[in-house]
Amino acid sequence: MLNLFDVSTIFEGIPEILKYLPISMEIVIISAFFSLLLGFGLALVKIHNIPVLRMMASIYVSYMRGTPLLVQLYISYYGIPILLEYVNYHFDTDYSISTMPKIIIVLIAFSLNESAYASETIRAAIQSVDKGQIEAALSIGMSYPKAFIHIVMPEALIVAIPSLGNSFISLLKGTSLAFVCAVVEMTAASKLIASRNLRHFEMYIALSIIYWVLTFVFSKIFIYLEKRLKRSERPLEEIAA
Amino acid sequence: MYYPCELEAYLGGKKLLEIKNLKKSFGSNNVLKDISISVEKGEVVSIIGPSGSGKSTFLRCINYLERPEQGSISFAGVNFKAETVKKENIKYMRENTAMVFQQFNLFKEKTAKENIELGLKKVQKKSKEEASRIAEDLLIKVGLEDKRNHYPAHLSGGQQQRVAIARAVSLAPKIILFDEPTSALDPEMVGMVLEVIRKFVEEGQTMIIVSHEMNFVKEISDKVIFMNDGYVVEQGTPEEIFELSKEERTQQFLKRVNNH
Repeated sequence: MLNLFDVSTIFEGIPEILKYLPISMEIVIISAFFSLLLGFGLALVKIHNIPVLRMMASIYVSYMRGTPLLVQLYISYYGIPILLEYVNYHFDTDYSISTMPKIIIVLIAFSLNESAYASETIRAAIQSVDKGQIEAALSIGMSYPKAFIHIVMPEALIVAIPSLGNSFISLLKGTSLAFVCAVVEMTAASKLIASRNLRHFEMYIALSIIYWVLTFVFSKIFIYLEKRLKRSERPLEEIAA
Repeated sequence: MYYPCELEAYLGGKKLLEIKNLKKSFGSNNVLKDISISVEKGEVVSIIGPSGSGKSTFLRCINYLERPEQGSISFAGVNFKAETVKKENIKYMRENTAMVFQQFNLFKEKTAKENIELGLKKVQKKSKEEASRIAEDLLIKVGLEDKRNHYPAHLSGGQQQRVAIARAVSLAPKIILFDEPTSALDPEMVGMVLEVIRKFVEEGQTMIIVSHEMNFVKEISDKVIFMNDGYVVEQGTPEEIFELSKEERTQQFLKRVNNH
């Protein structure tokens, strides 16, 4: 009987691949965190129309969104060591390129790429909060930063969550590109396992199932978060309780 | 034209707020050309006039939601000029006034009670318990104690405006600025909101009200100011403005409003 496709190796492969889930998640969560910080900064620059910075931010966002992530990963992979050499040379430091974990390159590339998308989401979300509420906050004597923290941010977050959730999921799928920087996460692991058992098709099916389940779970989490944050649309009984 | 000297002599007493020669323009559009008014403690001052006459802009200049370019402001012992206004002056004006907006502008992700509590906690640094107590008292006063946990989206326009008034009153401001508080309301809700305003007038709250509700203005005001085209055309008691107006522009305006 032909044994071209072996279902059982899929199920054997899943736990093997899952051993590398923490690496994938580490990339997603850390990059998501830094991309939010940087994206928030970029959004503020754009909203407040800060002269030179605004133009730089626009160019940055346009470049990051206009070039493939894979290409950006290669640029980081080859560029960061060169940058370090220059730093070592000019500042007389001694950063070692060979001992630097490769995952840092991936984290930098993903954070920079993701921040461009996040900045647009955050900017739109902040600008969606109606000015009247800010005026009301100012009129009762709140400072602008306080009004921003207590009124604008919570409302902007609700608006931003669906988009940020989508970005998070793209990022999760994007981690499959990290293997080009020699980081062994789930995709790279599947490749390695497949090269041993020669069950390439089954391993990639197993891998795809894992990504699918993960994105499904995270999309549910983001839907829940959005509902949870949107207090004003919850039924009254729940609020009183 | 107005006669500030005569008016001052007439009013006497101590001024809580005195604004002189206020000017404001948006680009080449001079919205406020020369506005001077004074308000005494406990007084209710109403500003009437056609749309576009600068009433709302003037009100918003008082708490610096708009920046006047020229003029001097003297408020409860603090004096400054618009030309050299400092951050602390703006802070002072905002902390000692409150505003009720035409569009209510409630914080939409906060409940009725939280809307009232926010300023008490974050600006006046009152304890949670005290803020809660003040908010509860005011909710009863505006007749919305059963709506304390409702979000603005669950309240009618009239209810939202009553919460907004409670939010303004809660901070015990020296003056409350009402910017057309009933203009965005359905007619049947206007009465309840005016009722609430009347209640706080009886308690001696000082107010400046921009309104198109002429009957209400007539009944409630100590002083009425008629503004047109960026100037104060005429001011005086409700009787002086509504019955004995000397200015043709005022008479024209009142005639048009009354024919509606």
